[in-house]
Amino acid sequence: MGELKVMLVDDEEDFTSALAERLELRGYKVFAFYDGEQALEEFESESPDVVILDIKMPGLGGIEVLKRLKTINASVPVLLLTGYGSTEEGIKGMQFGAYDYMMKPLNIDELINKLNEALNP
Amino acid sequence: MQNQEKIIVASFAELIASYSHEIKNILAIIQESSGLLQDLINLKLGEEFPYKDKFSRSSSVIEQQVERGQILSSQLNLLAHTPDHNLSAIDVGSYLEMVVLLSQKIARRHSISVKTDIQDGLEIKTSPVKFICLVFRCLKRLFQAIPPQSVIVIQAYRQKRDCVIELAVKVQESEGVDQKNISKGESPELLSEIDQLAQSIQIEVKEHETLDWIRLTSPGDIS
Repeated sequence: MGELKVMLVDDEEDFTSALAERLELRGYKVFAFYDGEQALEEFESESPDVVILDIKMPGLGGIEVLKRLKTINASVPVLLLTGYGSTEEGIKGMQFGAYDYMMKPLNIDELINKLNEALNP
Repeated sequence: MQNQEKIIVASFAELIASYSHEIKNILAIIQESSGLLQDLINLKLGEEFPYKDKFSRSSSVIEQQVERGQILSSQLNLLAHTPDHNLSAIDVGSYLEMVVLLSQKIARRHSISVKTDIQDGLEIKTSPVKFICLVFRCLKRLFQAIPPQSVIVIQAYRQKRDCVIELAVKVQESEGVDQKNISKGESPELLSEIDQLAQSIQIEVKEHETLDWIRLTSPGDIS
C-alpha cells in the first residue's frame, strides 16, 4: 500500500505548512492549499484519500468548498477544522457531508486517529 | 436595555468574537510549530542533540500555555456571543465558570482566589449579558473590600423553586484578621450598579453585614 494522500486546505499559511510537515514526518503525502478555490481546481488531479479543510477562509469558505468537493467525489472523507469556541460550525459541516470536525489548536495524535478512522471506517 | 446600549454592546461583542477567533488561530500556529520542532527532536538524529531534555521541557510548557490560551479564548468567544440572546435559559454553572475564569487575572492582582461549588443542571431564564455583569460586579465588590489571601467560594444551588448563588468569603485565619472586622470599603457607585443590574433582571441581592457573603436569588422557573 502506498502513502496515503492528504489534501490540507487552510488560509493560515504558517499553520498549514507546519501541520503538513508534521503529517509528512508521519508518512503521509500532503498537498497543501491556502485557499478553497485552488484546492477545488486540483482536487480531481491530486486525488487525495482524505481532505482536512478549515471552515473559516476568505473567499470561498470551508462549507462551500465541502459541498463542491462532495459533488466531484462524495466518497472522499472530509475532516473539518474550526477555530470557533462553539461546535455549531462543525455540526453544520457534518450535515453537509463532512466525516467529522476538530477544534483548533489540534492535538496531532487525535488528528491521526481521526484520519485513520476516516480511511478505515 | 435601551436600543443605543444594545448597539454598543453588540458592536463590542462582535469585535471581541472576531479577535477571540484570531487568537485561536495564533495558538494553533504556535502549537503546530512547537510540535514540529518536537517531532524533529524526537527523530533518531535528535538523540545526538545535547539540549534535548531542555527542549522537550520548553515544548511541554508551550503546549500547556497553548491549552490555557485555548480555554480563555473559548470563554471569551462565549462571552462575546452572549448579547446574541436577549432573554434565554442559561446554564448557571457554565456562566459562573466563565466569569470566574475571565476575572482570574483581576483576582490574582488582589491576591484573592475564587473557587466554585455549583450544583449540576441549574438553569435560569434571564438576560445573559446582565447576569454576567451582575456576578462580575459582585466579585469586584469583594475584590475591593476583602483582604489579600482571602478565598471566595461561589456556590450555586436550588432552594425550593429559587436558584441561589452565594459568593462566600473565607479569610485565612493565619492573617490574624477576624472576618467581622473586614472593611466594607467605600464604593457607592459599584453598589448602585449592582442594585440596578439586579433589579433589571429581577434577581434579589443581599449582602452580609460584615461581607461574609453576597447572595443572589433568582426566583422561580428553574429546571
